[in-house]
Amino acid sequence: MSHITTHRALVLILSLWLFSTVSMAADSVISHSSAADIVHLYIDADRTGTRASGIAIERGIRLALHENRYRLGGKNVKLVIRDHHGSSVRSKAHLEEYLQDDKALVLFSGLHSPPLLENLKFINENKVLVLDPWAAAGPITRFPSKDNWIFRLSVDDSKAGTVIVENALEEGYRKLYLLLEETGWGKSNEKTMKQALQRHKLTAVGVQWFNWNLGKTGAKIMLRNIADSDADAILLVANAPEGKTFARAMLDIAADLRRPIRSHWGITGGDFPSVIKAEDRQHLDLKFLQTRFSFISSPATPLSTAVLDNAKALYPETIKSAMDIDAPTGLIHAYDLTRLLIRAAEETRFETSIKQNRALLRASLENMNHSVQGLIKIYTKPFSPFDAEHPDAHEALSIDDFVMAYYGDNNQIILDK
Amino acid sequence: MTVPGKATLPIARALIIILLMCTALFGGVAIVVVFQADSMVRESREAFVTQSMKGLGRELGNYVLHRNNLLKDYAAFPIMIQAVMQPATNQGNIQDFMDDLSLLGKKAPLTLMDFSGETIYSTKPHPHCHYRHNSPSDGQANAQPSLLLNLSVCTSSVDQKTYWHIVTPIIYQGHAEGYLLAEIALSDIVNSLSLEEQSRHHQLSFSRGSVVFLYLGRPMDSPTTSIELPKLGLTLTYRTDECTLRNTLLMQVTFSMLFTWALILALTNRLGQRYFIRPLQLLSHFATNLADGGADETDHIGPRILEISELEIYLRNMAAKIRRRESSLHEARDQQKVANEQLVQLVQKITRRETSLRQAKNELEALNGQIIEQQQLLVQAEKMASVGQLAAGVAHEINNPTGFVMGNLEILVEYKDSIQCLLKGYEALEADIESLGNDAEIPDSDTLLSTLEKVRLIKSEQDIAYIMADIDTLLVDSLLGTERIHNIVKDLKSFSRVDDGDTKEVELNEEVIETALRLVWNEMKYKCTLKKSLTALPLINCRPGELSQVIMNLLINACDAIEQEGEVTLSSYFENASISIQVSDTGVGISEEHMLKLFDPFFTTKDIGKGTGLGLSISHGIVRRHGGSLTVSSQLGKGTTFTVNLPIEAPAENTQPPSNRLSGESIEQVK
Repeated sequence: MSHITTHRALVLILSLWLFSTVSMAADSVISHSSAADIVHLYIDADRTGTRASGIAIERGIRLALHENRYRLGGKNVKLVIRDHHGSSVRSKAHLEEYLQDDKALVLFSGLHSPPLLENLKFINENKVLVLDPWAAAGPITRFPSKDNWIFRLSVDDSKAGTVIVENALEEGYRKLYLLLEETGWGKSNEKTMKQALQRHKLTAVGVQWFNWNLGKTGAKIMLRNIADSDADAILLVANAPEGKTFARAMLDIAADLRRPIRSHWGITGGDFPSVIKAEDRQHLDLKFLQTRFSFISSPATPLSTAVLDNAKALYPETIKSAMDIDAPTGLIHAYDLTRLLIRAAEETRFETSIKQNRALLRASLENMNHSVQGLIKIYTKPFSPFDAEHPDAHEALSIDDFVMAYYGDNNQIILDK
Repeated sequence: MTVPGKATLPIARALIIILLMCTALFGGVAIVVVFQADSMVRESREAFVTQSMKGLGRELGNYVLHRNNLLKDYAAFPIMIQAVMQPATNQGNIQDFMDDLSLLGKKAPLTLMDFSGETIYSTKPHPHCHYRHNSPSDGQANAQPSLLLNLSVCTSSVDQKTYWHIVTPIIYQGHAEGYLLAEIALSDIVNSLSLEEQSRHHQLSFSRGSVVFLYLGRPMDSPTTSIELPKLGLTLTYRTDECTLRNTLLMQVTFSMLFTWALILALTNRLGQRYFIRPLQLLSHFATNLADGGADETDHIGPRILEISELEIYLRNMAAKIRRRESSLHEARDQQKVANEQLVQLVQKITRRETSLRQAKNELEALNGQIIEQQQLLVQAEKMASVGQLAAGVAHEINNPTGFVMGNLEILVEYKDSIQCLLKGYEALEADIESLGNDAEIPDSDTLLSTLEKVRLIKSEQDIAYIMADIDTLLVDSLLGTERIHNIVKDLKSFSRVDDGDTKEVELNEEVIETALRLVWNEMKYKCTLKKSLTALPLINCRPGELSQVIMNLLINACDAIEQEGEVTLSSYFENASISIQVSDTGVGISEEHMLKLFDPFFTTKDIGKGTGLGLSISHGIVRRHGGSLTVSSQLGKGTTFTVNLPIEAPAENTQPPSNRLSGESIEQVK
């Protein structure tokens, strides 16, 4: 039987005291942090010109956050919603606001590539962690630097152009005319579309650029010119406002001058189907790009059913069925992207500095250990560190995730095949 | 020759005075007219200025609005929205585009700004002024950007010039995503609208609140007028230079009036000399010559003025006439001398006649005195004649009472005897009673009784009781009788008395009418019945004796007019401040022919010796002297009425002694 020496006793008492102190301190730290830690999730989207897209994105994010009780890596989440109207200048102001906010963790962008494209350097140099559920321009996720802070779960123009061209060719069209908005987005599509045609040893019959705010008359002139150029289909890169203008212009010109439109998905961002109604659309041959999931035309999964139920529960006034979800891709992409964010946050050990936390979260996004079930697919290691050899490192979707779609009689989006 | 007491003026000066007066009048009228005109001009000018200022405001509004509209058109270009949405990407395009733009053919610096007012591109390398638009942070508040004109002003720190900024929003999807600003130099606005010219007479200011957009013109004191320019959101305030304009106008008017006046003066002087003064001077010379008796040597003047020409003719005619008259005057003068001599003789004759007339007058006055004396005698005689006429009646009247007073006295003598007889009886009774005291001779009671019986017998025999009662009656009757006699005598005295000339206040009914009636009644009562209707009369100042004589005369005449039996009515009444006494009869009346001579003296229809013919004449005189009138109305066979009218206030002249007046009256009648 051994005796406990005074020395040992002292050590024991000391260590017990130390333990209690440390544990108390830890407790206090934890409880303090859980009470004080709120992170701000910014949404900087167009809620004016293409309002439906902005609303859909917000709803997607909220649906995902709702599932996780608005917690992100152990922190409470508050949404800060901004409307940039599609203006790069306004968006820049919001980016600056984000940088001034020491609780701002992530910024979701919205429809329109130009705000991102114009501020690309600013975003990456100031380390604004951007998640992109809609803007499609190729360069957005490909800032030529190791400090690439933009992640996308959406259509990527470097593939979209290809998908649109491939589908059009598959449909039998050979003389394709490119009708593009004169923005960075339009230009990135011009590139990929021409490349896609190139691969089939084809060239575009013509390229027509248009500006935002163009009038119907200008649009009609362009469409007549296109008809004159002997094109058999038009590949359109436009957002809802200009998309509507072209649709109206097309309905206005003689039937024999009308050509099928195969559009980028930008036109689905606003109120296109409610303005260009089903009876009008019967006179148009219109298809557009979508990601490979639809609440309406895709087979239901337990997750999709749960999300739809949640959506109906959260927005009982506006969403009564899947048909009522406007600009559904916005909701679907934002939902999936937020689930990725939640997972990444869970895998992150946050520090006190917000700048550090942004960096840590970015690292977690690039190195996700767990797969995440989304509406479109199961995401396994969706992102990775970006460099020239890995241009798609910040793209969560691949070319296989894109399909063509059209509006049904009830304005619902139906995926083609 | 001058008119004494009045300054005379030469025609030239008179003309100038007339001219001056005309000028003063004209000037007064002109001043009124000028002031009226001035106020009218000012009013119409104010209206004109207001209109022109409104026009100016419209012009400026159009100037700015046209540019604003153009700017709006530019802002609607897709390249504009593209540039404000993605400024970095579109920098080159927007530069090229904006560099080509001009505002209505004029290059104006254009600046494109983003929604926060940051310049994206300006066609002017260094814009003079920075414009920061108040961009609302909330997108919602900006949902409906103002479509109104956005106008501001700034002064450049570079060249110290003022510029106006027109700003128009660049709208995309209902939101102002940026702004397009046009900078317009103030000098350009001033030149385009010719404001410098306007500001020469006005002071102009365009302002919004305390911000002055434009100020032109020199400082003025006149009151300001403001016009709102709602399109521009500006207020146009202006002052008009009234003072200088008015002074100029007044100066011009005054100067032209003075000039005109001087011209008129000079012209009048010249024409006056030629047409008036010279001919008049010649005429005056001619007249002086004529006055001096010089020969008519002046040549024919031949003035151009009609009146002066006529005057010359008249003057020449007059000269001829004067000469003719002068010669006839000489003749007349000679004739007058003769006439004068005759006149002297005539005057001498008249003087002589006057002397003889004065003598005749003196003789006449002496004669007149005699006539008056005779007249007085005549009147008294007439009165006495009346008395004579009355005497029988009066004697009868006195005789009557005298008769029954005498009868009474005789009865009273008889009564005295009876009473004496009774007294004797009583004396016997007294003696018997006294004898009772003597013892010796005591009468027996039988003796006393017999004596008493005797006294009683005397009493009954003499009817003493009746006598005692009748004595009183007889005495009263007798006293009445003597009073009647006394009255008659008094009336007679009062009638026959010559009034002493003094008037006294009397009651006519009693003191005049009744007295006269009493005197004549005895004469009348056998022929006439009297109807008397005397009403109460006021006292009147008169000579009662004279008036009694009149009434008596009238009553006697009335009685005489009745042949057998008739009625005389005597009435008096007071009416219209005069007393009337009427004596009417139912006698024979007076014929027309007699009526005319009724009041003539010595006219009578009575038998010779019965009347003097002076009664009515004298009565008429008496009544006239009392200021009254005696009138008559008569119907032949029916009767006559004489009426005496006497005014209550007798005229002052009637206070003269009656005799003289009466005689005067008589003389007149005699004549």
